[in-house]
Amino acid sequence: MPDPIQVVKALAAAAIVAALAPLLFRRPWRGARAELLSAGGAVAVGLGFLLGALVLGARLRWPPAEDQERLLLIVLPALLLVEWLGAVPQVPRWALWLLRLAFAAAMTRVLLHGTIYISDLAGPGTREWSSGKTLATCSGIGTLLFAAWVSLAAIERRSAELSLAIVACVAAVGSGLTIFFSGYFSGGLLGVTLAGALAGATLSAAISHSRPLPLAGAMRVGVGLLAALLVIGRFFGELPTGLALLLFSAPHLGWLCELPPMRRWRPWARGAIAIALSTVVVGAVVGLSARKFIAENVSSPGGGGPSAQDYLNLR
Amino acid sequence: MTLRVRLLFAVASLCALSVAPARAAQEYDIDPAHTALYFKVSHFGYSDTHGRFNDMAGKFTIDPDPAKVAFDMTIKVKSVDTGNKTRDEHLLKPDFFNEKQYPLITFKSTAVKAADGGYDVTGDLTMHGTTKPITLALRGGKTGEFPPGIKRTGYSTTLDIKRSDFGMSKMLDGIGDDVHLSISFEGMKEPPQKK
Repeated sequence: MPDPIQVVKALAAAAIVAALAPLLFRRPWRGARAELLSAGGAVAVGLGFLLGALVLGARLRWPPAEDQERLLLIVLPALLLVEWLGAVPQVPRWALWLLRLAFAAAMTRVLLHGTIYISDLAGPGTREWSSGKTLATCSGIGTLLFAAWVSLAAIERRSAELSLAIVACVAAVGSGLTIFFSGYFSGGLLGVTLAGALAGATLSAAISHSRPLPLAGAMRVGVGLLAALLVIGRFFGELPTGLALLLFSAPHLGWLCELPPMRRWRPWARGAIAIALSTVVVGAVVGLSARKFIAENVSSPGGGGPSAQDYLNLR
Repeated sequence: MTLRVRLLFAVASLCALSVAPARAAQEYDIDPAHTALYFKVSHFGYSDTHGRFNDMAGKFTIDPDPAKVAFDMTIKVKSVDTGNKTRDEHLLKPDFFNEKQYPLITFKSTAVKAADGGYDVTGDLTMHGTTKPITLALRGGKTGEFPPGIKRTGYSTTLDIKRSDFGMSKMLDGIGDDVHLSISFEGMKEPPQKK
């Protein structure tokens, strides 16, 4: 079982770095460009996530050989580069969205590189997926991610600014716990550091003088990393596909608040409902997976074996 | 025939008989039904958890010249069996063997020395994407035919490794770093097919 102290340290490191990093992009004496602040928020989440992962003991080797290394050394830098280009005035918006589409299309293929899904690692003809299935899976997940970014851009204009960030934090923690209970402990803990990084960036934006809150870039990186974590949870852990989809959809439950009569309500009210809806869905997913984990791993207390709490307290 | 001729003939016969025909190298295929690889590792210091791999294949060559002796074995990681399905599934995940990334464990000999009762075999053990040299003290080598027509031989050995040496360094405070291995295998050699 993971060391709770180490997990708290990773969470704190992620949050603190993500909270302080945006200061590098702000000029207190006068306003900064919104695009620069947005890129700053994106970099803050990325740096916080990376530091949290390192505190948890993630290995970084080149060339990257495992899923977490590919996530931290290829996927994360690519995601940050795309968001950073958003701060460059000469880069047109349509080019940025094209880059995001390319990222979404490539992400799953990169994370699954060198695995038995797509390579004959155990001898000729032993790959588990045909070329068609590889293409369908990678493009399907890429489509979901790109659609999530488009949805985010649309709902940001109508929702309370902080509610989306809070929902993203809830989804990150829930994804981490669910991946943990699916049996991939170290992968699950990365969800907790993502939540810490998102929380830190959100706090930093909330106390800034900028309005609207410069959270767009942070949210896009957060959603991108959430998708990547759910991919590694699904294909390296045993995260069921249905639960992964529910967790990924949590940040977009705010669209339900666009239904009448809620669509006329004030943004803070719609935001509160979105947070409540997401928390219920994520909580249900975590509860289901925790129940399955306990049933499979632990004897009943009356049977003389350790209880679930005994395992969690084992130090 | 004179006595001298008889003597010469006897000496010549003795010389011919003393030059024994050279034994050819014997190539064996691993017999999976009589091959076992067991491991044990500490569980939080309370006791050892035992397990085995159920799918091991390979070939080996036995020759009077130890330099020509060779072993080449492959183990499917997915065949790990600790008697607990949930634990087996966890062992296959990235926290331990990471079977999706490293589905095989292989051993290929690089140097063999004759030893009392068998061979000391040095070779490359590749596990979890890391290759390290190890030396196996193989003991056994009894040969026979079982079933009739099928030549058979076998060896056994034990070995201690550290899983962290092979990049499996998660949860070392709960699941021990030292892993004790016990390996026994038999090889079969079928007679050449008549043309």
